[in-house]
Amino acid sequence: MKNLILLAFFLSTSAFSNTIEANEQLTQATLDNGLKIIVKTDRRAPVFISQLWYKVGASDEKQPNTGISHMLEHMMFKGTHDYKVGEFSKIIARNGGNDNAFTSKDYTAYYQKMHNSKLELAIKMEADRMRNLTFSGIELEKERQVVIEERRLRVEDNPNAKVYENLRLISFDQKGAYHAPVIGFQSDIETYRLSDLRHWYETYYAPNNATLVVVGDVDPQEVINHAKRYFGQYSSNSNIEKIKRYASIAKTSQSKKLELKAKLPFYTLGFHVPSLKTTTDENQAYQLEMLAYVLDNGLSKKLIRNQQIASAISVSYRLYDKHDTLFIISFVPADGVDNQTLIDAIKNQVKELIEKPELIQDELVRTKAQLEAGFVFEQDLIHTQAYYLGMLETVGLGIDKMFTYVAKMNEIKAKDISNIAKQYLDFSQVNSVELITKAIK
Amino acid sequence: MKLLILFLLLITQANAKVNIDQWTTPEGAKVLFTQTKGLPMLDVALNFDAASSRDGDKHGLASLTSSLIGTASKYHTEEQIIKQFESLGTEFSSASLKDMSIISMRSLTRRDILQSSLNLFTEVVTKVDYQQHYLSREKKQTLRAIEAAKQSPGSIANTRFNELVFGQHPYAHKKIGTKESLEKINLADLIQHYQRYYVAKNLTIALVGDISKTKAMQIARQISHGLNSGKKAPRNELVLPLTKTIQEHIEFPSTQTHLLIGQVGINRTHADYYPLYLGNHILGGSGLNSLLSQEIREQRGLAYSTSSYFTKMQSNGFFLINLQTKNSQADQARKVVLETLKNFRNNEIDPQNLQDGKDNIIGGFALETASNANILTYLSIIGFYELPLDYLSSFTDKIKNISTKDIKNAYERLINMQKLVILTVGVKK
Repeated sequence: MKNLILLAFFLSTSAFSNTIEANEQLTQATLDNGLKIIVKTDRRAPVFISQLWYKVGASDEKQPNTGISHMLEHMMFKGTHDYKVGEFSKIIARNGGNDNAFTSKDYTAYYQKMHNSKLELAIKMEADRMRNLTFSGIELEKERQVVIEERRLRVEDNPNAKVYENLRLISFDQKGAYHAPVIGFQSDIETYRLSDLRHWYETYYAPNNATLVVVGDVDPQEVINHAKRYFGQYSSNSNIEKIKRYASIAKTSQSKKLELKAKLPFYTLGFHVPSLKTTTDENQAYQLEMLAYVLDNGLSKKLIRNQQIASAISVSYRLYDKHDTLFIISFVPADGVDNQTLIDAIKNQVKELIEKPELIQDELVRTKAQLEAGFVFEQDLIHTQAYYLGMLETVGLGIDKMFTYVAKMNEIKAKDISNIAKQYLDFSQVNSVELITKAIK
Repeated sequence: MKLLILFLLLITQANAKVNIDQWTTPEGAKVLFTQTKGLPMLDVALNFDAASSRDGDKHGLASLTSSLIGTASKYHTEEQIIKQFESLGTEFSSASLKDMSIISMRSLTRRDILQSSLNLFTEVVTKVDYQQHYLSREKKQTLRAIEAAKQSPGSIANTRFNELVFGQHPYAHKKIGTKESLEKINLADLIQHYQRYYVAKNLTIALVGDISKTKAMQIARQISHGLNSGKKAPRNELVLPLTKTIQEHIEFPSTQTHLLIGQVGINRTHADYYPLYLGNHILGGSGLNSLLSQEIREQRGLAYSTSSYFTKMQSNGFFLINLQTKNSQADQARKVVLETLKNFRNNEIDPQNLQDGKDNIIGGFALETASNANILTYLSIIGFYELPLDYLSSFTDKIKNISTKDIKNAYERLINMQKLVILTVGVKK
């Protein structure tokens, strides 16, 4: 009882993104078999989200098995020894829940969102499919077609998605991570064998390669007890640390023109950069993150609102990637404006930022205010909270990074942004993909 | 100690249900407010009945009128407004649909921040300065969006489906307009649209966050005070049902065919609202567990996603089933969808499906209001569409006694298998 009162009190008094108070709602544990457990209480509504994260994703794949992590994610809904095909989602739904899964470069994750009286059920069923999956050939054939349709929908019929796919193809060597798309090449999707999937499952789906994250109105001890009961008997995979994980291998000064049936031109530039995980100086990663915000704001103001030579522009940096990654600038030029005009304008903006950091001083202050408020706003959705906890743990950064983010960003000075831009935004090394429009009819 | 217990009670009560306060400002704006504890933030949504169904023959007018809010006010330029919101860490956004034009703000509740945010927000919304150069710029941006839609088979299909289902109704046209319609719109049209529709009596204010009711009343008063009282917009007429089946194909060089099958739907006060809602949940509104997903994806591997839904609007919206499948399978998929719909309409569903649907909706209802963002949407809908204040608290009661027969009867009354829109976009073999 006392516990509850205290927790409730912390919730209401944690007025701002204060790292100490926020951590009072957190409980962490590790089972003997290596399963990591993270619980964050949020008592605003009598619900929870439970996510199970596996440390495996597209960056662990090689041809001819690109996309196999994602394919396995689909197969995880196809039944175990105790539950028939499709029963997983059906039982969760009958109990008022909704469930799904997502795969990315560095992780595969499964989740259930439910009323808090259903906590045990969610953990029990997720634990069951860590071990007891039935691999049916018939189900694989159907699901293979579903995944090919998914690829058509997301990539084949979406010109800009093809541009991004190609940027990774030319920027990363195929011998390392991040070259192939998460969903896989179509030729690979067409040819996985059941034994490939089973092998993937047996290799990576082990308690010492997984993290259970629960956020919501739950008792942390109860989460740990359920996890012990249902995951506790599984043995760990003693080879997991020995599996070779391939880093990304950068290729520079690459460019490609893609002629596609499309109406709008699209251009994307990728600069090789370290991530928070790979950098030798963490400050640099946060500086790159800040650079992305400042450039995005600055370019939108100047090129879209002011000069009106771009109709869309975006700058992004993948702070939390497990391997060296890309800093990406993409744009759609305004009607009648050629790409080179935009590229020159972007170069000028970068040059100005490097030479006159004092000009971004105010911008920096405003961005920090936005990040500080944004941290509070993000707490509104339990799945966002769970996502950051699970992702940070899975890529090996640890969950403290969630609570130190705002403080680290606050330390950054204009001169830091200038230096980091100078170091990494080297246009002589940049990779680019250009979409050239071809008439649709 | 006493204080702590009181506090605990408050929290428990907040968990049990969403308490909604409703009142009207002196100028005539309707206000709905829910206090939530735990996060020091406030969401404000201003829902004006000022969207594309009010375009008249100037398609795109409502959307442009909305997108210029936030550009300039009587006292500040666009860049000043953007910088001020950024400095406060406050999020400002606007969106314009067919019924609602929504202007929203999310701010921290720290006193200085909240008050400055509200002052700026109120000014931006109530003292708009429509300027030609912003209109020209937004028109150019809209023209790019129109072009972008033409390279997406999904967008082409949606646009055409709306035109076919809604016919002559003001819901039929694309809200961003066309190249031709944009040419006819000038600054005076925007000012006129604003003056007529952005008025207190045409507004529902939704407020959700960690503030007192007294504070909420002050905020609503402040926003409303800057607006003219005006008149509530008259209701749009109901959409007329289709008179015959319309089959149409649009040739487009995509690898998949987008298939859309549907007809005129319902509004939120329709007599069969709840059986249709539950029925749709079972038919195509519950992801992989729905009957359509079972038939299309799980049994046949024909598509990655298929679903059915009702757009529930002021006038009746549409009912739609859609999916995407490789071009050569389009015919097969169409047959499966039509067969599934026909069976669903003509026969009572399996009682187990009914029970599963109810259990999912009722057992998971707490998830519907688990975030401030979700509650804000519900308050906006309840206020704007004049739903009863117990809409949320009575929802599960309305669902629990529906029978398989109720669903069959409701679908029999609404769905006419001889008067459907059947639209495909893709490559025909």
